[in-house]
Amino acid sequence: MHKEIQKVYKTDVLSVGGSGAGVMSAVYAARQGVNVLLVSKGKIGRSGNAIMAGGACGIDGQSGREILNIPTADESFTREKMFDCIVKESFYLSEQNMVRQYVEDAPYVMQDYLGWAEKAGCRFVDIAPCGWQFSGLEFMKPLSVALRETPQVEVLEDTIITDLLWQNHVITGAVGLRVLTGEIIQIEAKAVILATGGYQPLTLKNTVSDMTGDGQAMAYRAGARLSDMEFMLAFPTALVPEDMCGSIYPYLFRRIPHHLADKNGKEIVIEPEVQKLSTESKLNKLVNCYYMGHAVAAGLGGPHGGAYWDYSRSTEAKKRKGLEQFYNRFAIWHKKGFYKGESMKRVEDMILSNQPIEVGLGVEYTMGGIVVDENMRTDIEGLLAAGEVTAGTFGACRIGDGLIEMLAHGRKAGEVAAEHCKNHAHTPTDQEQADAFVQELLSCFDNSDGPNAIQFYNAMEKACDEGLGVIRTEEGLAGALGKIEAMKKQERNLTLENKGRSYNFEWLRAIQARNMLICDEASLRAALERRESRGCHIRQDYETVDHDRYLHHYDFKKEGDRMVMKRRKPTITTMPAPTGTKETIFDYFKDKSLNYDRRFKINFD
Amino acid sequence: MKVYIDRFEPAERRRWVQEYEVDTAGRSMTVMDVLLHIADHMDPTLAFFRHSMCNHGICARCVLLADGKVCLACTELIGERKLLKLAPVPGKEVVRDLVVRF
Repeated sequence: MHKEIQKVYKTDVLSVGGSGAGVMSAVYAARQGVNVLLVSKGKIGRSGNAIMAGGACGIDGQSGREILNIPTADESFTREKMFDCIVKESFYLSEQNMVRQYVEDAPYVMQDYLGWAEKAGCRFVDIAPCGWQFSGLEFMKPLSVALRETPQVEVLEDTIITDLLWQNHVITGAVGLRVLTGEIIQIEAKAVILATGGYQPLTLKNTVSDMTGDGQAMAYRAGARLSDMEFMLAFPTALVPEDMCGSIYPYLFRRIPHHLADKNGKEIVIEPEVQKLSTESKLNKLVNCYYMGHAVAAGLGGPHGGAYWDYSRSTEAKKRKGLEQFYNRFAIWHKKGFYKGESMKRVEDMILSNQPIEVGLGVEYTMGGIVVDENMRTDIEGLLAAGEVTAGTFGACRIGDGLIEMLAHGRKAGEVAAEHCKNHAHTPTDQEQADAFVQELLSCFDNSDGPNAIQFYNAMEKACDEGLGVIRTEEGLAGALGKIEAMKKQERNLTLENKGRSYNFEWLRAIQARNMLICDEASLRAALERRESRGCHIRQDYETVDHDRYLHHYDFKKEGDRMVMKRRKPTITTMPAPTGTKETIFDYFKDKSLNYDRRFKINFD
Repeated sequence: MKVYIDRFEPAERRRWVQEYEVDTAGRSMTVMDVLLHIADHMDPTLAFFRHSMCNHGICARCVLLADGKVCLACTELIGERKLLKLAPVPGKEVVRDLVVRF
């Protein structure tokens, strides 16, 4: 065993990830009587992107009445309608077997979740058709209760899993490091559940800093497939005041009447039918991306790369009402006048004084990731994945349902992993493999004269900014891909100035760069190859949605040193694939024969 | 703005105060913005909590002492300061520089 491995853990199920999917997978696995080790990059309940939620979630109203006995649930929003909506929102790229799993399982996990929420004293606001509004941290509290009720789950926080271990296509465990001390650990497990969340390729972030593609990359290196990597959900994200960059306050203030404007103060006109799609529906994210993105791409954006939200046509009364409604609602979870830990006073002043606010578009969620089936199994035996790290449920575009995805997936993965453990013996660790991974993990300490790891990672983000933004072109994507491919060659030489192990963020960045290069390459190649627009993938040079030529996934798999891309048709159960083309992504939704209708109305009164 | 940071390297058991000069003119920054600027452009060895940070005052892990006040680096505004003194929050084991164990 490599002399730097300081501790070995032996367990049945290793769950990697400290937010909803990770905690749920650990809890539900442990309840089946198997040993579980839960490893989180940060602190459970205080890390991962769910804490940033503004936020709301819900299930179908039929299940709300029948299963959860919620009298106010709107029964007309049936399970079939939920299924129908998700598949249509995905532009028919959803794996329909996974959507079925989601729709069937979500009510049951929410039943347990609401039980924990009651014990935690959570304050949720009921919304239609059957849902709950909250702010991120509140949503996490029930998970802590669930863990407390399952004390047999062993927990390791501030720990990063860096490589999976496998032998003959069967998972045997993982290696990782304790962030505070730099200690290296080895884990032996019969099943590993990756619940590590999405990945963030761009500089502007409305996400936590955890989203570094670790799960996707580790699964890829172990031989699993990645898919749908070109689909990223972006939405209005603050650029000003600069110290609040990344806040999602613009999205939360969207109900105060405003119009979009360019740097010259000229209105960015949204076609009235598209505007209708946008109101009362989370399609407003896509509408904002399209119109704001096009203005910026045409050189009409502001100094920070955004477009403007102009409240000047709104009356003072409407503005004050909108602000008051927001403050009163969020005072349930934050200090009044604050959103999360930031005062909204300066933003309020800008709105009241008619100062146009420059707003950017930040990626909040990645639809793509690790390919799994409806049991959360990957291609590798004993390796499962759950939550945002997976691909398949939401296809080209997710409108709602992300928070419940992680819960429903986590529960399924935990139960399936536990069953797997009961039916299988441990496969012994290939210690040579583990030692080689540890050696590689430490190799950057011996590098000199190579690029600085922190600056290298920032340069990767900048490269992606130039091609992987909201509005994409052949030139932009190819340029960014070229830069990423050149950077791949430099990755082995990343050099650390601090040679110590204790909280060495340069070292973490080297590890994350290795992971993000995989995610970036797959995303850019898929985006380049998809010469159409679909969902969140908007090509300026190919605005058409083309079901005849592009209704498939782009999968990526490691073969030797190469990342090989293959097409794969989506799994269809009840909703047949559409044919033909639509001129734009909005024409797809405007099409009456699509028969799409999903409202999200949060009452602020 | 001059920034003085209390540093600690556990392997050598060495403590010292390091000085940095950060141009804050015309920019609205938080303490975290300043730390990120230092690490990204001046001194990558500086340790402060950032591996799982929210940057908007949610997770409360970037807590430190700024000019003697316990605060979150990510929400503490620099304002008009020409001088900033940073130290790890007291009462906790210091892991390295501004990172404490809690």
